[in-house]
Amino acid sequence: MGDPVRTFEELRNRAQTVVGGLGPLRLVLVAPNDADDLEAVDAARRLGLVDPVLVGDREQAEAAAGGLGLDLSTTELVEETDMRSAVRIAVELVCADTRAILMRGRIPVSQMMQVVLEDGSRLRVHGRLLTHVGIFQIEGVPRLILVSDGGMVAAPDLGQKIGIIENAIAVARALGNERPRVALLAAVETVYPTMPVTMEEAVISKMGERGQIKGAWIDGPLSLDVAVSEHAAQQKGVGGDVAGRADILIVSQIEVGNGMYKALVSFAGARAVGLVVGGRYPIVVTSRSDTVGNKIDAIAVACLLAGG
Amino acid sequence: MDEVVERAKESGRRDGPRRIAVAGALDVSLLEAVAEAGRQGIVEAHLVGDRDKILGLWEKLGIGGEEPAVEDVAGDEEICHTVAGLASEGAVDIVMKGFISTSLILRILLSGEYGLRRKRTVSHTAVLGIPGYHKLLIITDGGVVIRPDLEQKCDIIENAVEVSRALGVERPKVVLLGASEVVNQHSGELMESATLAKMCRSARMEGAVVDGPFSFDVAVSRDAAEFQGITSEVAGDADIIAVSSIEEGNIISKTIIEFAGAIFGGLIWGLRLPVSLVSRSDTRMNKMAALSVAAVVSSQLLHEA
Repeated sequence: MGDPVRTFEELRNRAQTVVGGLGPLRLVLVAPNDADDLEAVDAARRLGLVDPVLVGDREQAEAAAGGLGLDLSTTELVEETDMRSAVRIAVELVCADTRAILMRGRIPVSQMMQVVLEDGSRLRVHGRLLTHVGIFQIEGVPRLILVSDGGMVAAPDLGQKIGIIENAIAVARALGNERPRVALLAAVETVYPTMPVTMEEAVISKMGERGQIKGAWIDGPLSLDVAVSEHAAQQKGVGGDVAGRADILIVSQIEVGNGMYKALVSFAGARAVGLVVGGRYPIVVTSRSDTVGNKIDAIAVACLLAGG
Repeated sequence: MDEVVERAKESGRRDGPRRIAVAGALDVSLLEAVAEAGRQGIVEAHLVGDRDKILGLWEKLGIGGEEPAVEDVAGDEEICHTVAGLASEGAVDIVMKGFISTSLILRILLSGEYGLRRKRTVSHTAVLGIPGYHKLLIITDGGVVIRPDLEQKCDIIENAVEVSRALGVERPKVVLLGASEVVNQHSGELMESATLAKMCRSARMEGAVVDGPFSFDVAVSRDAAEFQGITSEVAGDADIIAVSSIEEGNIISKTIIEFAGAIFGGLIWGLRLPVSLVSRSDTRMNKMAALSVAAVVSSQLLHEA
């Protein structure tokens, strides 16, 4: 596995090395009518990471590409103007391959996920939850930070929370972190019967301790400052394997993860990517604030997750 | 946030330093901040706790100047009772929660015997000075009310509007935070925000403008609002962000403080006097900001009275 990836630069290099040995992955972009998406996919193709196929409205795709001076005539494109059908076709195309990535273009996440989540969808793995993981490179923080779930599961129950944690651990491991440190975030670092979140997190911590959730150190409840800052952990006297050193931050409400994502990007200048994981193949779900660079990063992460 | 410190100095010159009772003063950077705010004429401190230890620490830090007034009291519970007594007699204008349990001091301050409760709901506002945002941003409630119902959420917003106005914002813009702008009948949070936005347009929230649900970037960035095609005078220009759980407020505030270098002052509102909150890991600058925020709003209360 090597050392954990600490920056998106390292991550792209790692992806290029791994993919280089095996050949590019199939990338299926659904609703390819956003210029930034097309630019990022083309850049990833030139890096040797992916072999793209577009599914959607040809006219709109060509219009978007034309603005960039990008020629789509040699790019595979499946024409489908109905968005639901386009997602179904994209899922079939992804599942026809052993190493593949699905990428969302300009289509609402809810509309795409409805199709991805429908019964009998070949993208789903029995017993596994599809969850959203945000990955952040933040100035002054010497490691990538993962946050989940700020995009898929609105108000997870205990079982779903475990699914969210397991998926995030899998992502951290794919990024070379063999035993990530998982902080279960709350407003405090003590357990209060009046705060249900703290009780649930205490239960999950114990489950982690007993090896019911594998491959990570898990602790909570922890407040954000105690989770990420060694100084705060020390000042507040919180020990353990996670405090001050967390790699993964687990939140208990979609609003928290979503707010963190946007606060980090808006105010902390964080470089961020978002993915939906837990299915047979990773799904790149870019956000409206993403730059072309963010989108290339997201594709590189997906390549590593899909097994290089 | 520098402006708030300046304003606090101005209020101090005009109205005299605010008298502040400090519960749990045995903390290096807290004592330093209290001393500095004292030198600047912002506060006059009444420290409550173990006198020998507090003065010992004061000496050790070499702060110098006049020795602070210390009421010699042993035990956290007794400290809180003494502070509540001072507040109840009108001997102080502000209570500062230093290194002592928040729930303990709140329980004692709000117990019937002191008659300090002014509002039905007592809530926490985090006043943040964020590099890169064009004004102060209040996030509420990440400190007191765990999971507010609709009525409490209205109260929390009303409290934050009072704080914001006391800090000089004439007509605060309030965003109800959501994970999305699209009201979805399957999401209780989004439905509640939509209901609340409507409710707040009625007479109740005079002097403020409330809108939502908006996600965080739409609340603070005009570009994001435009991208989403949202036209609202609140979008991209929030003074206050109201959240739906203590975790949401606490974690998002701390994310901004930890990673965006924000300076903040925490305030508990709804009592007859403001309660300023600091945490042990806050920097001296943060503690100074917290003192200044409390001093400014306390001065404002004086003029409204």
